[in-house]
Amino acid sequence: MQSLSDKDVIDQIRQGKIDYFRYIVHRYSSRVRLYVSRRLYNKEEADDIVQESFIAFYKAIERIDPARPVFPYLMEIVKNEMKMFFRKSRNLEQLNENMFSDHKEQELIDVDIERFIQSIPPDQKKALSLVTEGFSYQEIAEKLKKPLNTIRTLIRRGKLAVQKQYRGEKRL
Amino acid sequence: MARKGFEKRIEHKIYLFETKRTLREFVLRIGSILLIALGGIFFGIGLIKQLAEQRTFDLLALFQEDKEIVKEFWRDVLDTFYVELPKIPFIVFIFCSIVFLLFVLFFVKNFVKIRNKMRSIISYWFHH
Repeated sequence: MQSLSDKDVIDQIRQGKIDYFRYIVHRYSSRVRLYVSRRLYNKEEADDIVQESFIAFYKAIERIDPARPVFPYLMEIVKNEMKMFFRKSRNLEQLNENMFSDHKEQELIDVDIERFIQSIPPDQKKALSLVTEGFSYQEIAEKLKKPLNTIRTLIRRGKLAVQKQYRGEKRL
Repeated sequence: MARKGFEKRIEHKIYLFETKRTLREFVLRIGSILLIALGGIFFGIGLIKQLAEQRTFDLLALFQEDKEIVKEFWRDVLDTFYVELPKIPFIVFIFCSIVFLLFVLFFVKNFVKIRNKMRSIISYWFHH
């Protein structure tokens, strides 16, 4: 197994001899696995990434230059797989209408917030006013012709600004 | 031992991927070749039938005549042949023939690769 160069192995795989791919796997799987497991604490996820990397490498085998060393190319694929993994596993929290429905918001309910709304930016003021009038976020999005997530963000920021002002006044 | 098991899992996934890909390509290519061949045969037969009904093939009897006569009239005969030839079936027939030929050339060119691949795949699934 050691006598065959990477170039010879790639050439054989390109000739349809798929079993030669095990040489590539045997040569590099330990190094790749070590690299990934040092960056991912979950062993199963690390193994999945290593497996997907070798599969992606196999799929790309017709396109690679056999004269160039295999390992750097393989590592590029591994890094891309890890990037995709991290992107997928990032938790994107959807802003929802009840996000700030906690006890702190309760203190605003009995207070006339109209005067606090006056000093916040106009788009936040408009959105927050419509909320106090009883419109749902979806209805506000349609009224103001803005995307729903934008409305959620505006309302959230508006509420934060109002809360800040209210607490500032309370301390005084 | 754990490392061997891990490597075997990778190998298994590779063979699974390659088997699906090869089967898919095989079905698509065979289907396409059959379609092209049938199309070519259908239009070819239709073409010959129409030419026979029109007695266009009788024009080619000129080429059995003396050299002098052939020399004098061959252009006229070919012009007439061209005018009487049903164009669309002829074009389709030629197109099907060319595509079929390309498929055959592709198969011949990649025969070794295809054979090796099939051997690898069959050997793997029969021994694992």
